[in-house]
Amino acid sequence: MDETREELSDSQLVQTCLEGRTGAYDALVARHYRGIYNVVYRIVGNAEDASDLTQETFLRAYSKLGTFDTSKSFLAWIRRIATNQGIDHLRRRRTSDVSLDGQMESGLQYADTDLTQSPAEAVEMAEDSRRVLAAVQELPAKQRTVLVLRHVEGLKLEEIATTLSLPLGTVKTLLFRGRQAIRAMVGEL
Amino acid sequence: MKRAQMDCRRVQTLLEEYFEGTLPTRRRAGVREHLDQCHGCAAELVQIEKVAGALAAVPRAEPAAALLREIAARTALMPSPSAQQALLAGWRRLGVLAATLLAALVGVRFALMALMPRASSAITYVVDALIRAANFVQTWFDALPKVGRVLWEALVGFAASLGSASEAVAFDLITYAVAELALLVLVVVLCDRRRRAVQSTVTSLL
Repeated sequence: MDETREELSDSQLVQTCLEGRTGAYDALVARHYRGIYNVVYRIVGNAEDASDLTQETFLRAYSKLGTFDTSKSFLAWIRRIATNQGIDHLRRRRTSDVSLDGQMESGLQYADTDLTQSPAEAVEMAEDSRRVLAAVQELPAKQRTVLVLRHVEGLKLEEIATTLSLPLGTVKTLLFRGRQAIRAMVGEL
Repeated sequence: MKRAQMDCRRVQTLLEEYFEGTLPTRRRAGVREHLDQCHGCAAELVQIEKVAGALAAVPRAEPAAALLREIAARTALMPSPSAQQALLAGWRRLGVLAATLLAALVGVRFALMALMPRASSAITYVVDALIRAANFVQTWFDALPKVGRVLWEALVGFAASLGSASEAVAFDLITYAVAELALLVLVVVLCDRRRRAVQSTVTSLL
């Protein structure tokens, strides 16, 4: 049964769930929870909060699954819920209380390790990432979210605009200002 | 016609868009031309690329192993989406039914007003009479505790004068019951009189 679910698309799993076979939702969660956790984690900068918000995201999506348009992307839909949760959380919290040094020291591996890099270059890149990520945490919620979606998640500008329900021009402005602010904070890389 | 060269200030405002690849072709070519000749602006572009590169190289975080189980456990406690949909559909049907009923009542009311002005005024009278009757009953029911309290105080005084508690209680209960019964009869009589008045008005009108 699990093997069959593995082969189903997101929309088919949603449809299966809506037909009463709720186990299909577990397959959807298993497929996307890591990605959603990462988006939220980079927005809120705190593992515990990210874990709670990921849970809330999937619970909210479950309760509203009947309203989901299966002709559209489930991932985009749930990412939208997750980013909204992240932004709301930041607004509630206002200030960042996370030590990013702690994150970098927790034995996390770089996803896209460039094999052509020398160890020295890899260390330098890690240091640059640490500084930039620390600067990102100082940005206002929406700038931070746009930067995470653009560069960490690799979304296109139009996708970000859809995810955040913002005009494309606003997304560009947030992105450009965010990058400028980071450059101002970090200095030369 | 030769395109005018862009200056550094103009190029700096376009660098972010240039990096994103969202500039129109001609303007993009102008920025490219400037960057080929200006090391300062080219260095700015490199910084933008480095910021983006550093963010892209951010490590993927691994959620706690229990997260998946916790989500599954919590969703298991929630009503299934199909049940929620059925409930929502039920509420929607009820809403549509209520709206239709209300619209029909309003429609009948306006139709009567248009076609039979006298009947319409009779209906208004009936409704008005019902509201008045309800208000009347309500007033008396509101007043009952007050009447009861007065009677109670009188009876307590009476009992004290008799010097027998049991007799006082019995007298109290009887008096209270008689008073309530009298009030009830009064309400019924008044309502009945009002009903007859309404009935005769409707009969005369129709």
